[in-house]
Parts: sequence; C-alpha cells; structure tokens
Amino acid sequence: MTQVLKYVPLERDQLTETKPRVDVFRNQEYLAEPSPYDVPVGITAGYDVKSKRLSLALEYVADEPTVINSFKEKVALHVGKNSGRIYQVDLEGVDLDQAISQKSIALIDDVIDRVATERKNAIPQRYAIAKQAINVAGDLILKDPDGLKAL
Amino acid sequence: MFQMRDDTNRRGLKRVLGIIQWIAAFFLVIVAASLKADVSKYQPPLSGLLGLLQGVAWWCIPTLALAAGVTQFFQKRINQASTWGSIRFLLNEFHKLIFGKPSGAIKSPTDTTHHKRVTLFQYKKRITFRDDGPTRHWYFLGFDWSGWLIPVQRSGHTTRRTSTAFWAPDAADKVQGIAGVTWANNQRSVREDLPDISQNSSTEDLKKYADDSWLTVEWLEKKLVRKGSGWPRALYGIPVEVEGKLWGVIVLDSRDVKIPNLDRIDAFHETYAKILSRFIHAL
Repeated sequence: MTQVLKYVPLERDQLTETKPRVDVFRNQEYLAEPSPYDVPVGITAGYDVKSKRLSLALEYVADEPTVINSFKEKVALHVGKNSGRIYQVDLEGVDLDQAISQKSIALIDDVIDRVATERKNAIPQRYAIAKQAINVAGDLILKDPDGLKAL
Repeated sequence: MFQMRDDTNRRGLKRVLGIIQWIAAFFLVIVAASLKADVSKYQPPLSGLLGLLQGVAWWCIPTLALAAGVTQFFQKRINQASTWGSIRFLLNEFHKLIFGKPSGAIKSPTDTTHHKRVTLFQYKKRITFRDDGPTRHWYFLGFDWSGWLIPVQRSGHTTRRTSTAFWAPDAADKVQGIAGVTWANNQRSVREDLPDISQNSSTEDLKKYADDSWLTVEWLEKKLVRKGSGWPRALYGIPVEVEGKLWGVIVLDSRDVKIPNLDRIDAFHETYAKILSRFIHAL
C-alpha cells in the first residue's frame, strides 16, 4: 500500500535548463527554448511501505507508452517508448526517512546519465531537464518540515 | 496550392451516406446468398426472384461492394472534417491567448486577425519535381522523395489557401524556414525584428530577411510575385508531438516586430497539448 503521495508543482523559473538561450543554425543566431513537451510541470513522490520503494513520477503536458529499464542498483526508470523521456523513477529498498536524500538523488542522476548515453539519437537536454526537475523537487521535499508525510 | 483541411460540418450528408452504406451492404448479402440457392427446389415467385438475383449477381455484387466502400470512405472524410474543426478551434484559442481578441474597430493596419496567425504544419513525405529550397534537390530522374512541412490548419477564417510549404529533408542542415529549423532541432525557435519587405525592397533587405528566416532570396522573390507585401516580421516555432513522436510544428507569425505574451505558450500547452495530440491521433 502506498503510504505517501506528495505532489510538487514545478515552475519554469526553477528549471534553469529551460531558460531561453542563443543557438546558431546555418550561421544565424536565434533564441531557442526546449520543446514544451520536454518540460515537466510537476513531480509526484510516492513511497510504498511494504516494498520500501520510492517512486518519483514526472508529469508532462502530454503522455505516451513507456518501457521500464531496470538497473542493478535497484533503480528502475520508466522511459517514453518514442521520445526517451523520463516519466518515472523507482528506487527499491530505501527507508522512508532516507527516501529523499542527496545520496538517492545522486544515484538517480547517474542512472539517467546512463540512459542518455545509451539511447540512440537521445536529446541530451531532455535528460538534463529531467535531472534538474528531480533535484529541485527533492530539495523542496527536503526543505518541507513535513517531508514525505503519511496521508 | 495547399488548402487548409476541410472542417465543414456535414452531419446531414453523413447520415445519408450511412443509410446508403447499410442498404448496399444489405443487398450485397442478399445477392451473394442467392448464389448458393438451388432454384429448382423453390416454387414461383421465389424461384423467379432467385433466378433474377443470380442473373444480375455478376455486376450487382461488385457494384454494391464499391458503393459500400465509397460511402464509408466519404463518411471517414466527414469524421475527419469534424476533428479538423476541433483542431482549428484549439488554434483559435491559442491565437486569442497570444495575440488577444481583435478590437471591434480596426485601429491600425496590424490590428486585424490575419496579420497574426497560428498555423499547424504536418510533416509529410512527398514526391516532388520542383526546385524549391535552399539548394536544388533533383534526384533520380528528377523526382525527389523528401520531407515537407505542409500547412494543414490555421486560425481564423482567411488565408486558408497557400502555396507555402517548407522543405524538411533528412539532411537537417538544409531545412527551410522557421518551421524547418523548429522541426530539425525539436525545440522552440524565435525570430523577431525581421525587415519589412515587399516587391520594391532592395536586394539587401531581401537577403537579410532570407538569411534571418532560413530561406533564399530566389524563394522570396517567387513568393513576392504572388503575395506582394504583408510579410510576417516575427516568427515563433513550436514542435508538435503525438504520443512522444514528433508530428509537425506550430508557427506563430505576426506583422508586428514581436510576438507578445510568450509566457502564455506554456499555459496553452499545459491545458491543450494532450487534447491536440488526441485529435491528431484520431485522424
């Protein structure tokens, strides 16, 4: 039974990876921003007491079928079948009070980097945005005195 | 010439087509079943009727099958028209969100709806025998099977016929226009403060506009002959996805030098992106 659900809305201002930047195409400088489909609008953090599993689900403006990539560090990523976007991260075998920690976030970052490297035609910015969104949400939950509280 | 996709409501016609389809299917079954019957086992008038049906079966069956198929084809087109109408509604909402509602009385030359537009481009592979594009792309025997961004729907009720499509080949460095650049890089692209061009513009101005908007002077000159003045001076491209796959591009264009309310683009997508994807998926 999932004990905890906490939704963290994300604002564009919190994600520096999404800020407009100057790009160059055919010798022309122009202002570029990530596709709106690549920017998460919120993250839902959930903790399952029985399996000691932390789940972080990223919410985007649209969805698609996902495939699950499992890693030996007891991390699983739900990756968009067509886009390769990170839709959910599952962390097994963590205690509730340590579910959101610098260590767990660093582990998630490492696994996302691996997916970004291994996937064919991956768009690096997608993964940078997903990592930053998870880090921002993690910081917000850590700073919240209630943290991940049982409903 | 590209015509924005038909979104006329033809409910009555659809009903008639549905009735014709059912009648055709019904008689198709009757005629086909009659072929199996042994006429000698039946008394008149049934034997006469069966004989008649067996006699006409050779042209009746293909005709009824064709009628059922054709009516289904046109019913599907009418269903698609309804979906295109819904997509146009979303584009109109997007237009209102970004450009605001036009005022009742026209106050300035740029205060009209068609001076600011929201256009949906679909990526399609097309066989072409043309030399548009930054470079000629003649291929085997002069035919080229290449990617294009074709305008399929637009906000408003005018400028719904256009000859403008943008080349989007697999060699992404050669894409045309802001639509092509947005497609190639799969990210939002902005170009503002473009020069005000017309048929009387200097070569220098045309070259600047062409370079800034990833077109060629030759392309512009051909279009200027038809269009004359009234070229957009600000462009904004946004990728469009369906189930995580890149499907096309939305382009906002304005005769003003800036696109306003860019902060509302996220608000539009948060509300309507899933709906737009579902409509497109249903086509």
